Amino acid sequence: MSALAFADIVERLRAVFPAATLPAIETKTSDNGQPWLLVPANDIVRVATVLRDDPVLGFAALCDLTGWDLLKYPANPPSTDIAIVYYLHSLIHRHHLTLKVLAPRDTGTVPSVSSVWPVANYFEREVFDLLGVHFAGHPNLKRIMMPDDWIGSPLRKDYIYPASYNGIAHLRDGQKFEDAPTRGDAAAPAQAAKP
Amino acid sequence: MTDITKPGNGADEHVFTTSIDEFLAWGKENSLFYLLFATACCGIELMQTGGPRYDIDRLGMIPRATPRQSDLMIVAGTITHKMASRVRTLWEQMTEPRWVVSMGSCANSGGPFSKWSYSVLNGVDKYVPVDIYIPGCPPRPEALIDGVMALRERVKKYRTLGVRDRDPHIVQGSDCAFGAHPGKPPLPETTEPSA
Repeated sequence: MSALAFADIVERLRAVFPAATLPAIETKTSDNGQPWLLVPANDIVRVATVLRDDPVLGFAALCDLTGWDLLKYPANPPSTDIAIVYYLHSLIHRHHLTLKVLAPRDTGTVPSVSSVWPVANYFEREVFDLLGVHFAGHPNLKRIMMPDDWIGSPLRKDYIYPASYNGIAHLRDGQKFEDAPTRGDAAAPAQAAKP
Repeated sequence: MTDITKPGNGADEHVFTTSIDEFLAWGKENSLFYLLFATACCGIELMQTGGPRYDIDRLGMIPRATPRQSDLMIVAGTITHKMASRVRTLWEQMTEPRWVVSMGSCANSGGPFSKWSYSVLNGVDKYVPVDIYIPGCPPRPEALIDGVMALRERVKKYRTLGVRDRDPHIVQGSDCAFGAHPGKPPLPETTEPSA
């Protein structure tokens, strides 16, 4: 067994699936030349299971699962989606792979991969907490970092800063968030109570 | 046998008189057991202060692993809104009289997080009364020891049997003021105007 290049990994992945059930995966390259694989949200669990169980691929380790908000990102075309990024590593073959899934901003729901890699449990809770993406099938989807009664998803680019929490003001007298509207201001739009 | 109660036989050299209050304050001053509690990088300096080079044990300061045996809480590090209620609970578990030292910029005012962070408390004095503030990011062990020496001057003035018409949580001569914890009964008002 030897480490596979990105193209070989994709080729193997296409070969493993029967032609009728092949998910619509797309190969992409990021700005700094790193290749990655775009996977449709509904197929992520199927793809993840194959990546883990196939003896040639052998991605037993999910190194990280994170998310980022594409709003205000200079993408072409502009997007308002939230990208979920999966960093995989094969401890046997010493190769790695980056997957991405796009979740719509308002109704973003992605199937949970915590049944494939149990470590995804905490990662997905973090993304749920800070970016407000729901993971279908997650066993315990609740906030992990912010207090349970927190309002909004702080890492979203359009997050509205709260003026206070629990009766304690965030800002000292006369201070103001310069770029972001603060909840409680007349100009600030209403924000949903839950992420 | 020499009668030491007679003048010239050592009474003036071996016996001194004092008030009970001063005696108790002397004992408190020289046995400030502090809570082993650190939330961020100031804790490294706190550990160093307790280590052999600076050896804060020589001031009678022994680390305690439980708040129930502690006289002093050194808040060393960033306090988030989620952590703040835990800090308050720890403080409430300490036996009276109790003192709080706010160590470093984060505990004093939120420090580098005071302006742009949604999750960091702007000073631990919003939740617990603070006796001594030590500036620095983080303060060196010398600064912490200097703060402890200033606190000892304050402890020396504490009167166990003294006037009881004011908040016993607050050291006499203290000018600290803090808000009531949400969801908990407000503390009795002090007779002195709050700062």
